[in-house]
Amino acid sequence: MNTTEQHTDTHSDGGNGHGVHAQGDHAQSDNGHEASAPNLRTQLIGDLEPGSRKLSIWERLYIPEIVKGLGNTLRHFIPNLFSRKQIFTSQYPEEKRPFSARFRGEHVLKVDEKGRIKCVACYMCAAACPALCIHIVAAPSPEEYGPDREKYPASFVIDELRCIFCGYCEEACPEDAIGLSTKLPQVFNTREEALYDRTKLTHNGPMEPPKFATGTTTGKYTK
Amino acid sequence: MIAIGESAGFLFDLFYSDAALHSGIRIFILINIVMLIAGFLVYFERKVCALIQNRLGPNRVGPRGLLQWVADAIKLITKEDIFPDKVDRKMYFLAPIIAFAPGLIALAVIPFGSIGGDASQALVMTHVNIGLLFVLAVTSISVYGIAFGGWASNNKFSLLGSLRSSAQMVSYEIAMGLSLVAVILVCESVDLREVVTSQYGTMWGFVPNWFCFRQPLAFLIFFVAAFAEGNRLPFDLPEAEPELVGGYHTEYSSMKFGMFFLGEYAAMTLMAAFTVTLFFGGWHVPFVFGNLVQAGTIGFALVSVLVFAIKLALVLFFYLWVRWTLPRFRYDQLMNLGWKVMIPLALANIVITGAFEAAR
Repeated sequence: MNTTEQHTDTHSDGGNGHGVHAQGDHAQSDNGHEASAPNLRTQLIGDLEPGSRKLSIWERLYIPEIVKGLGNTLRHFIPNLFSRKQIFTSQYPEEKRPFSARFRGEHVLKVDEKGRIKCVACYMCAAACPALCIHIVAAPSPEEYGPDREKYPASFVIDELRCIFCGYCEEACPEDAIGLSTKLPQVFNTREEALYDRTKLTHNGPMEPPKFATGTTTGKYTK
Repeated sequence: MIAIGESAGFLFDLFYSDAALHSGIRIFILINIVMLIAGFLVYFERKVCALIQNRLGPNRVGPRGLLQWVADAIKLITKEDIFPDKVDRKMYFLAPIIAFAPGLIALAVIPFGSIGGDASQALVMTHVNIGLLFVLAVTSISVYGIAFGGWASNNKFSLLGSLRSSAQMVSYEIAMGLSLVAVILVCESVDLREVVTSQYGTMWGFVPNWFCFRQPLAFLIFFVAAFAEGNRLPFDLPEAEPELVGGYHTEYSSMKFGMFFLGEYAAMTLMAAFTVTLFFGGWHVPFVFGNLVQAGTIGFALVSVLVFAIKLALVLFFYLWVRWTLPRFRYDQLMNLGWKVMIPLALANIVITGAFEAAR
């Protein structure tokens, strides 16, 4: 009896901190499954202590299990020899991965129907930006913008290398002037190339999700 | 154009003469074929692996990626050949050569076909009447290459890898040798040509007389040990990328690495050819053998070589298949399996086989 109590004591110290466990075997009848329930780790992944589960002779022979495993891989190999249904490789330069419609790529500065830049240089995006990559210089808007616009960004530079593509600028903008396109962030050779100015940003990538987003064309490319 | 039914006298000249020219041609054929097989194995390994994992594998270089190994070879050769600081330069240079050569040397005694049906008409690069022992002896040399490579690299990962490797190869060589004793007892010869001819015919009329059926236990032990000898998964502890960064060849670059790499595949080819010869009847086809084409003709030689090639390809595929199925053994499991399971089993098999042979 003494040994049993010692055993249960160490068990409770070892882990789950339920006081009930310390009472040992007697507690089981009183407290039902609460006391006898194994801890969460054991429930989820089984007891992984070495030697905790006795292997049957069949399993200890090892060969049957190897044959099972070989059968498993052959079930993939043989169908894949003849068809490409299961193969999920996409042949990158020819096949592009389908994007989500909400994909956040490079920035776009939008232009309204009169050809004016929508941005009113309110600095909301720059304030929201956690990476501090938006640099705006505000100026009174030029004559041709008309009387309904007071300010416009004389300079609007985004450092694409600093940007973390979180989309906060898009959310913060009261004029819906800045957006993240579906164009993939580019590769730059110099740091200066990564500084996108106003003209580059207004002519940047498409806002719609790309055409290849619908359906998959996986496995068509065979060479 | 040589007719299929024509007598294969020129093959006799080529394979049974000691003239320097003929020996030279034989060496040329052997080296090129082994290098081709090893090169293509690299490609097939990647392709089989990809298909098992639902991927496509190499498919850009050449039709269906078949020339991928050429690209790999060019890449390896053109890389910078680095001697790391404080390596033992002589040993470091020698190691890949020692690791690479045994695969080529030992393949010379494997009979890969026959002009007639007899052992004396077998197509072998070198006629050695102790072929079986020769292969075992030469393959054990390759462990020196790995041990030297690990030692000379001046790198603890390499050293650990080579230590593991030497322990592993020494243990499994015992099991392999002992399992083959049973085969030698049955066929009463260590000449590989006679090992093949002793597998002619059938048991009870329908089972081929191959040693994989006559000596299943020896076959199993030999095959597992062959995996361990070639450092193939599930026994690739000398490399063990996650633990040892690549083991004994961590510090190697360029073609020195390439020789370790190709040497592994050459050793694998050798072990597969050895297995085919010992346990799958070599060039022999049961039932139809000898009825298709007349013995002593070119056609017969072609068929026998083709049969050997097909068997070799199947065994090699099995090697790849196992690699992409099983995980790596733990070191203690490896040693337990070798010393506590395979060696006793092999010894028991010798006793049983010996008793049967004595009673016969």
